[in-house]
Amino acid sequence: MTENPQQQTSSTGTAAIAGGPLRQAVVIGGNRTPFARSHGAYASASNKDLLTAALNGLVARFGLQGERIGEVAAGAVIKHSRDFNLTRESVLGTVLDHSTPAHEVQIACATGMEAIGGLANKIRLGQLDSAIGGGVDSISDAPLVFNDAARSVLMELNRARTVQDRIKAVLRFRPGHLAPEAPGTEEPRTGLSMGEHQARTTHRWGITRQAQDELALASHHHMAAAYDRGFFDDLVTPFGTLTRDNNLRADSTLEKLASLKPAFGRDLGEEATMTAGNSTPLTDGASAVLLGSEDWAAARGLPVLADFVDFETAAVDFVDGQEGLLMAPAYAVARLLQRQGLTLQDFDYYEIHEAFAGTVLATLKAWEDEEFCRERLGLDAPLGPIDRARLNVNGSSLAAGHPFAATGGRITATLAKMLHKKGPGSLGLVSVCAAGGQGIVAILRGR
Amino acid sequence: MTPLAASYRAALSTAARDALLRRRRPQSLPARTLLVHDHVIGEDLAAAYAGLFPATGPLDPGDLPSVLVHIAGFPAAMDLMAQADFPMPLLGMVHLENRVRHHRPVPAGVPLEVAASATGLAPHPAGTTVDLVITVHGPDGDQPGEGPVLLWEGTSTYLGRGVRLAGHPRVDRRPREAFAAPELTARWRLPASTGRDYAAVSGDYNPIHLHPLAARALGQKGMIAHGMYLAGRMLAGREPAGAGHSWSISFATPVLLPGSVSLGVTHSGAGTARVTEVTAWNARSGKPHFTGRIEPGERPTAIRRPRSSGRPWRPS
Repeated sequence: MTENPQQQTSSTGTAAIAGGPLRQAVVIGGNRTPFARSHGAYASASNKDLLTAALNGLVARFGLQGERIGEVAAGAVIKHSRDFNLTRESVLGTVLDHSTPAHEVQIACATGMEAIGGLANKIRLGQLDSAIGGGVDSISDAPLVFNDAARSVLMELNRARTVQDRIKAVLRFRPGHLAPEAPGTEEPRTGLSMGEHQARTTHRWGITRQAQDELALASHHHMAAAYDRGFFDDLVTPFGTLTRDNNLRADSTLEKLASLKPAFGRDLGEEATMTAGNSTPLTDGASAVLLGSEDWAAARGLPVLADFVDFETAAVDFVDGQEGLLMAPAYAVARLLQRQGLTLQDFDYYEIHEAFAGTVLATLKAWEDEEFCRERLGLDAPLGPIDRARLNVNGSSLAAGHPFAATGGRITATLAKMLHKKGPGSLGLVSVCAAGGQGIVAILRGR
Repeated sequence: MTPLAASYRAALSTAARDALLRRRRPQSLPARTLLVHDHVIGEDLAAAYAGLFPATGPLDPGDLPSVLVHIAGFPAAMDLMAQADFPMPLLGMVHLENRVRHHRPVPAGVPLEVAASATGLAPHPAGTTVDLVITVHGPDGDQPGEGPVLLWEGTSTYLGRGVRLAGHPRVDRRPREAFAAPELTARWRLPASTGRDYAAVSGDYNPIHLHPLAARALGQKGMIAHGMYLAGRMLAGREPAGAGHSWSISFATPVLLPGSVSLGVTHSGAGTARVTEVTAWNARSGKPHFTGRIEPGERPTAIRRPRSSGRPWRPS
């Protein structure tokens, strides 16, 4: 009998999916490109270029050349329709074994978390021994499409079988049809951008301008300090001309942030608080996280940073303002804590994605709010406050930027490394909000 | 059914004849009810209508949206208004308000009986208002002897500006209430083609919706959105499945095209008792465009507003 190289090599006996016990899915490490403000350093790089670079960096870091990985899952929020197999095409561009399968994931800004969480579940079930999850986005590579009117004419032209039909179709062309449409960040059902939505939530929760600016400043300072002490050395691989995220402002001050004019919610007049300084800019970049079973990691002598314990997705009805667009993680955390029998105070680190400073602060305030926790989360008591010294301690999206689908990978790899340093059993909470009123939260445990 | 274009042509020629002959229009409403038998709303029309509001997705051909039913009955009402025996000229009439009771689902592809009549001639500070009532009946009900089932009834109130009828007292203009915008929940960006797109579906090619010059010639500040387009967009995704609801919309200032409309939507009550209130305004001028309300059941009190009470709008 010849050995089938495609056969699963599980040394622990029966897989959970076949009736055996569940096993741990562990985070081995991560890699990302530096993040770049859009239309800047990566203006000529495509989604595929960036994702391939992030994957190749990961492969190089963990010596996976020629290795067949169980599955690679990644995605991009904004991508061209020709990139239907973006992740598989990127894998084919790496030095991984070309028999490594790959699939696309997309749940807006939580894409990376969904990719990683889904793969972790497959590992726990024994369906996979190894996996890579991540994501990429490039606003600089955003596809432009014909508007619907032009598309209708072009499709009719395509269907036309006779010269007459073709002429008829061509005659429907109007100059206005030449105006392309770019993908927007507006919610289709409300016509409001994410920033405009968050401006309502920030206002409703009474989050002050100063509190937001302070959070933004802390993010920049924490991340700059982390770079300076080499924390990101084994998490980031230079790409293009960048070795660091170019949105990072180590020298930012509260005075500088306070001088910025409101960028969102300007209709709120004096009460508008959200600026370009306390909101994330559009960003390009990619990230990837290596996951595996304990055996798979041990067999290759790879480090084990953390267990991927559990994750939860939530959605809220934001369409007529019943709930804030980016408040879903507040709900998801309540459910995840309940399922895991934990309290909000049990964590050593909190990684709350800074889509906007207002998002983080409104979420924290909601968890402390008795009425919100009772009426909306169905809890007897509020989840309570967190120790702010444990929040985004190495900076987050306000400093790094936020290439939508790449953020989950950035956070997971960063948190896993922090938990590993903290020691076995340490706990970390991830919270990522997403367009469409959705959000994904996760728990990692240090090894 | 008389096509809308024919009604506009008839209205134009009546207006021209009246001007030439200095004919005085009649002082009372025609007592006729215009009936249209076996009117069918096709699935193609339903699909075209759904295409106007792409964000809310396809619609259920067994339970058509209220405004699409209105589109089916509107030509009958227009036919009444375009005739020489109607007391006010069709062209230049201002659409003030709509109140609809949507009793049961209206399906596509089923013969409907549409009836249109005019009623409620009433004095208004700026002229005279009239109610056009459209009812839509479906096939006979299940019960023996039940007869055609009333599916939908709607009342549209129009203002004939400057029309003063004998025997009607003058009504003083009420002081305009200060408008305070609610919390913003949505913004509609309406391209210049909005009026033409809605005209292509509804057949309502009133020139004020089609081209800025035509609109100015007819006394508007520019090309404006159809009131029923705004109603349709307000209702898209917010009408309960299976009907059994009422809704109303009161127009204040017209929506110029292209343009942006700010909206505040609030819900009270839960589940089947949910009431939705919508306020739309212009963020730049701070003026209201319309207010609307969607509620379960058939609440005639909320549908038929007493004439004497103050209204939040003022005709422009």
